[in-house]
Amino acid sequence: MAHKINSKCKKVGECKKVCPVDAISEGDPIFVIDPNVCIDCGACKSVCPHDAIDAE
Amino acid sequence: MIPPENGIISFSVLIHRKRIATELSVESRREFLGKVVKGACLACMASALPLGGKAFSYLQGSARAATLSDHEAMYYAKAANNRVDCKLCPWQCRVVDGTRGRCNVRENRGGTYYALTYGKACTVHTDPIEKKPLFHYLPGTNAFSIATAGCNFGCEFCQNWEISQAQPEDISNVDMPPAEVARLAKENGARSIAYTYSEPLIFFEYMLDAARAAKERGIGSVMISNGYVRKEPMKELCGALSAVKIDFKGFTDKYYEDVCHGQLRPVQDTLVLLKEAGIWFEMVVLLIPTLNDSQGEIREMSGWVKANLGPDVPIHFTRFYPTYKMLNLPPTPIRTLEMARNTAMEEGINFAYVGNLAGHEGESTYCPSCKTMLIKRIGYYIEFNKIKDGSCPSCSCRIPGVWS
Repeated sequence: MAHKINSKCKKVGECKKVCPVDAISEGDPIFVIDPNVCIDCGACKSVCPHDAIDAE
Repeated sequence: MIPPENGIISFSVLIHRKRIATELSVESRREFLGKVVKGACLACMASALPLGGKAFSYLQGSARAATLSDHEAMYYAKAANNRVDCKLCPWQCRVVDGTRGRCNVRENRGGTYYALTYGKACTVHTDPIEKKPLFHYLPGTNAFSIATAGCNFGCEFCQNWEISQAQPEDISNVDMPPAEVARLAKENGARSIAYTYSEPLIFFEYMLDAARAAKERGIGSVMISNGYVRKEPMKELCGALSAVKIDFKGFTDKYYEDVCHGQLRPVQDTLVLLKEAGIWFEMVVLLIPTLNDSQGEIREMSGWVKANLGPDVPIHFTRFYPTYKMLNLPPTPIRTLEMARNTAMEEGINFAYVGNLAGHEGESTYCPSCKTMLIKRIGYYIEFNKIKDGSCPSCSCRIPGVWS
């Protein structure tokens, strides 16, 4: 299981700031979470202002 | 290391969280149902209503058949008045006709007990085995991971509460019979199937059949569990599984009861049983600030592990992040994790790790004899693995685990 950023992402970058394991990087056209690094803590999900992160 | 995502299927969790949030609560649905029954048009209404909640447990028909299985459960006894007595986990629910056990996924219909989530996977994903975490079981391989709804605990810090605390009809799932699980695991190049995310013990029959099907195809099975199960079913599982990870929540009855809504003693019994059965197992202790992270408690726990399970059981002390009902506490300080690891090693535990702390030296495996770093891990990645034929290449010390 990993969290995943969906198309609602507006590239605000709040998720990247709070990720404790640096699993999030700026992709094109949206931010992406590396599923092999993500620890499913959900920190990104709780700060996303656009509800763009799903628990997969 | 090869990133495991290539060509690997990855279903979404398919959770209808928003739908749940906008629907009526279970309680109000019950009230509503009462009125509907009086209205004598139950059958018509049932198909139009969103399914969910125990109040609907006795509804029959195609709407529920799509999401719930009618596979008969194992480990139960029939009692008077169509009641059944569940013998799977230590709660031993006495389930009256038309209701479910505490786990929400085992239901009595007319005196027969059904495993509602048999073959109904709500989450399917391929993960590195290190994510489970199992560090001494085929490092660097992938585990084809599945879950169904439900759990027999109610941990207030659960990361997967959306599925573990859900009614099976409240979340979407896919039909994936045991043989299909084994086939997909093989197709995706996984060396093992992990029963994980929620609580696999309560989808016991599904796990057992999938593990047997996988065994025939040369694929292992690992159970990621709270260990809250009765002896007989656990013994039967040991014959089909190849490794187990037990979430050892803490070392006090109070913590188990107040925070996890479970009980400590039966979990200790399971650990001892696993030791006796000779199956490979590892333990995880999620350290939550102020609740289960005192040095005294960790010392006492480590002492118990060494005395009852031996010094070679790996213990992973993992970092907590605020989630679910436990948003009032901060992430576990790194020094607490380091203190726990050091304390366990002082008490004679040979393999103590930190977890959820990518890049920390405490994620790597060291030879207990000559202290050589044997497996270097960074998060779930393995930078190198020097273990040869199950032993340290420097001093030939045997390193316990399943290495090939």
